[in-house]
Amino acid sequence: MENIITVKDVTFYYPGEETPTLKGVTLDVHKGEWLSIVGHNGSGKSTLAKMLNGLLLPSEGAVFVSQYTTGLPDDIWEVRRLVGMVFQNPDNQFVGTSVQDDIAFGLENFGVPREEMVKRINESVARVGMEAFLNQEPHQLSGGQKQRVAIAGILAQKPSVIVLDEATSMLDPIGRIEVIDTVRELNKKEGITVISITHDLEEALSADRVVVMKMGEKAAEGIPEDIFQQRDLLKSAGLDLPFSLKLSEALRQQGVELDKSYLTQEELVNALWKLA
Amino acid sequence: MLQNVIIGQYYPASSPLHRMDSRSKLIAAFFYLFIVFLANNWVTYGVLIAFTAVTISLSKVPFRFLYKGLKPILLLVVFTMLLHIFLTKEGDLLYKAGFLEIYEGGVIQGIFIALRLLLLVMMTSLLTLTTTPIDITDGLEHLLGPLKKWKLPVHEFALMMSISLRFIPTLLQETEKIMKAQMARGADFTSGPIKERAKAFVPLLVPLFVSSFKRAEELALAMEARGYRGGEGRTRLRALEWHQRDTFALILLALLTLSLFLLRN
Repeated sequence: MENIITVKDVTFYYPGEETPTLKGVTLDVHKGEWLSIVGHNGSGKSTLAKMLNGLLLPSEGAVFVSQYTTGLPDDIWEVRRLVGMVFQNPDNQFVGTSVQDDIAFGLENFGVPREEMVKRINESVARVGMEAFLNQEPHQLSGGQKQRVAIAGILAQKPSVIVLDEATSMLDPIGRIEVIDTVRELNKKEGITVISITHDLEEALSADRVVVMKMGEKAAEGIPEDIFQQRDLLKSAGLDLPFSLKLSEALRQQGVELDKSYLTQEELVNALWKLA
Repeated sequence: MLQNVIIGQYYPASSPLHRMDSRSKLIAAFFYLFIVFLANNWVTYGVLIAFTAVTISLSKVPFRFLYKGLKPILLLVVFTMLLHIFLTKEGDLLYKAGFLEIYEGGVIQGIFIALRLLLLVMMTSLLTLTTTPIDITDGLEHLLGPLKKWKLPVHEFALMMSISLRFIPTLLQETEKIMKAQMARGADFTSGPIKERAKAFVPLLVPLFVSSFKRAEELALAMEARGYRGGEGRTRLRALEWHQRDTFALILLALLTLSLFLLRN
């Protein structure tokens, strides 16, 4: 499978610190996949995210995006265009005074001509279902809506990858679903690669692959079904198991005959109602 | 309460003045500052007053909004008027009581100065009443653009302004939230002597200050992630459009200037 991002043996020290935040991390991100990077606070997952679009540069090793290298000054802007990032706080990444001004911000930075800008804004705002809000101001929007505007701002730049850096952690449940559904559709229908950084394992269930970060190192990598069976690993990484998994294990301990532990609520319900 | 907060004193309406390009309005207001000083007799002041009155009525801004802008300077107007009335000793003596002497020239001079101040403030308030702050920012950025050659950070200044404008409602919301949190724990912002009330605001300002720093840091990161690298090579979504009416307005102003020149003493 073709790689869109390659992280090669990356070690990173924050200025003035003795211990590295990332220790020899190597990671391939495939084109079109949904990759979840999970880990506890301080596991280095957010630092890793900022490596992917060159907001931070590796102390050792290298990060390649498509044919570009994040460490090269000539490549950095193309890297940032290709890898869009949605941050945690919906308010603190809203630059414009209205929805369309905010979506335009990235395009203005890249010197896109005005007519093209208007076209791309209208198109990308429709892709996240916010076309009715073009002239709204940020304080009139909910958290989930602001995050969708942030996604539209990235889409307008024609990216290959969207990185969600804890993008749903400050949202209410409805906002969370809004954002995840929007991103899932982009991932499935348009083949945009999604990397979601999260400590919420429920969110990681949507992923094609999961990477577990622990103390600045990659502790495990695999499909969600495999990763979530490794309970001890997840526990030692400080992660809480998804509810349906915990419930199915508790049921099995009580002697309910389930043939495996189920990851999603739907699978579990399906297995339960078939029981004699 | 914050759902429809209006920043600055913009009065939303649809008038020829509202539809004018912010650049022409800025140029006109700036120019007006100078030509007001050309008036020096009843006729020229009459012309200016007529011009200003017509402009105000065209703007569809109710007078009480203009009055709000005038209130803070009324005291200054009255003071300078009195100063002129008592200190200018020209023309016929009108009144004398002890050391107080009021001359005709002083009265006229006092009225002129007061008129001048009132006209100035009314015209400049009209600018901010009919133009949104963001449009004023855009207009200023365009007009001051040539100064970039002398290393004046025009783009940075404009961006700073627009980010401030964007964050005003956000910070207001946050202030309200912190205030409620403090009130829930027994803080009292509304009663007691001024000193106590001022003190009560410290626990409000500190968290607000801290969070502003955090916001600034995160916003900077988000801006960089979206490819921000200064004003060089940037295009703009907000286009200012210069219409015929803008040219027309400036021509009108030029004619006003000319007539002031011809009619003044």
